[in-house]
Amino acid sequence: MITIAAEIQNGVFKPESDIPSDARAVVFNGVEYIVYQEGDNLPDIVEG
Amino acid sequence: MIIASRLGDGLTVIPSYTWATKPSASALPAGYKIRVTGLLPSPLEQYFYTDGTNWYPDGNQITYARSATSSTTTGTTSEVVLATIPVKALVMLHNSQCNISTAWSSSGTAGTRTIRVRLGGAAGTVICAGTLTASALHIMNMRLACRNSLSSQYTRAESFINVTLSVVAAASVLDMSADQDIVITAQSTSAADSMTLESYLVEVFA
Repeated sequence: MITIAAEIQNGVFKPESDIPSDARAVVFNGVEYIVYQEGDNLPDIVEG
Repeated sequence: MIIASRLGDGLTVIPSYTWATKPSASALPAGYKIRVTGLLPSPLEQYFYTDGTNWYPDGNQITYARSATSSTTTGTTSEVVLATIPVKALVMLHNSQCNISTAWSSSGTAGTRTIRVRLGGAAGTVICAGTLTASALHIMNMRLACRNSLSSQYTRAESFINVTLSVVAAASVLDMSADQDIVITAQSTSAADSMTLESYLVEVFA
C-alpha cells in the first residue's frame, strides 16, 4: 500500500503522480490517494 | 526495435516506434505499417497504417484504455479525479469517434452525486455530467465524436442499471492535434458518501 499526494487544479483534486499500473484499488480519502496493490487487504469500501 | 515476420514468399519488416517517435505519416507511402508500443495499457500494442496523410489503427479501432481497478472518493465534497486517460495527439482524427463506458457504485446518504467526464484534463471541458440522489450501481456510457474537424467535438450519453441518471452532454472545441487528457471525476454533496468508479473502457474508432 502506498499513498500519493493530491493537488488541486481548477478546484478538482487529482493525484500528483500517476497511479501505478499494478494498483488493485485506489481510495481518495479527502486528503490523499491510497493505492492498494497485490497482497494488500482491500478496504471494506471496495467490492470483491 | 525491428519486428520481422515472414508473409507469403517475402519477408515483411515492420518497424517499431513509440507514438512520440513514429515517423510522419506523409513521409511514407500509403499502406505502410508500423508497430506502436507504449500507447495502450501494457501489454497491449497496436499496428498503424498510413494513408499518406495520417496514421490509422490497423483494424480501424483500438481498445485505447481499460481498467477494472476500483477508484473511490470519500470524505470530501470536492470534485475528485478518479481516472485519467491520456489521448495522444492525432489518435483521434477529423471523423474519429470514441466510446467511453463507465461502471459505478455508490453508498451513503441520499445527497446528490455528480459524475463528470472532462476533455482537456482536470480543468478541461465537461463533455458529460450525470447526477443521481441515491446509492446505486449504474453504468454511464457516452460517445465523443469529432465533427469532421480536429477542433470540434460533440458528446451524447446514456445511463442505465438500477437508477436513471440525469445526464447532460456538451460540445467541446479541444484541439485533438495536441495531447488531451480525458478525466473521469466524482463529487458528492456529503462527505459521508462514497462513489466508486468500478471500471472504464475507452474505444477509439478511426
